[in-house]
Amino acid sequence: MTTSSLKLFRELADAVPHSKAMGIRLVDVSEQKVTLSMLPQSFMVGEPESGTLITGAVYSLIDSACGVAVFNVLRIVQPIATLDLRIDDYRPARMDEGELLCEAYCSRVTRDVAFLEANVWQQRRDNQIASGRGVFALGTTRGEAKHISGLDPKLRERVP
Amino acid sequence: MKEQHTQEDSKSVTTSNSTAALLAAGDPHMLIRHVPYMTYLGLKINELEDEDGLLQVRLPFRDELVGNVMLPAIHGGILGGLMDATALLQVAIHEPSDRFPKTVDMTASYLRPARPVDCISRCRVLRRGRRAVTAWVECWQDDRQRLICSAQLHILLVEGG
Repeated sequence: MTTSSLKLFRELADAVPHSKAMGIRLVDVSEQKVTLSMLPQSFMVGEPESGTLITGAVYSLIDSACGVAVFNVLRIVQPIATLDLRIDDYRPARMDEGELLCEAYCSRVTRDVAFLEANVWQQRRDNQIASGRGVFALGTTRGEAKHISGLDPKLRERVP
Repeated sequence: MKEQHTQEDSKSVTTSNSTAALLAAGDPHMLIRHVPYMTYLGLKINELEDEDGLLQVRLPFRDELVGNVMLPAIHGGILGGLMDATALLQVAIHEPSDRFPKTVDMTASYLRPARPVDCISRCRVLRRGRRAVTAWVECWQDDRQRLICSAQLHILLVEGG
């Protein structure tokens, strides 16, 4: 189950031009959480003197991770839209500290919306860079939903 | 005056103060060229001072900014980046400091899909505190009355160099 969703989500992420440009990759999917990575690149810098990344670049990673987390919890790929996304910038990410990891999970799903939480760290999990909170609207446009193989397509109806 | 001071200092100080010199000059074109992510976004100045005295920033559309290929629509992360950059520029130009301001938090609302055309944004400072600024950013495309997204941010005024 996890392997097939990982593959599908990877294909989805690769099809997003912006994610590709930022080098955002899906590294792990579990039932509760998704983890995405982003390798710092020189164009993401916000302050040349200190070599720290701009908040906006970290924000992109959080947005992408939250989106994948919604698909993951629904077990279905359907049109979704970000209603609201917040980032708290704890400390600057650094160019020389390796890849950024973002873990996102759904704290609550209703028929119409999903609530997300995300944490971003660099090098070690306790070296937290930022946290995020998002609200996504579900089924925003009439599009064909793509079920993840091996999963119950009716799951969404059973969600509280 | 700060620029003169910078030139007299040693080389290492000159490097660390190049941001200071740009901030003292208060030219948003130069700041965009100085900040790699703003250069990457391809930000342009739409209006230096609009009728409300606010800086308007333009994000020219290009394929790399797309987040939803079906619609297609610009990625929400890019719009966040644009609004963050707009607030930083507005604060950097109007609040004297020799360090670049820092974002503490940003909460963005997405109001309409961002079609594959240019976006324009501007930032209003709601309150300037001693150490932090509360700012509100709005962003639109062809029609100023139809916002595609907005954001509220807290931005820290960084002291010293």
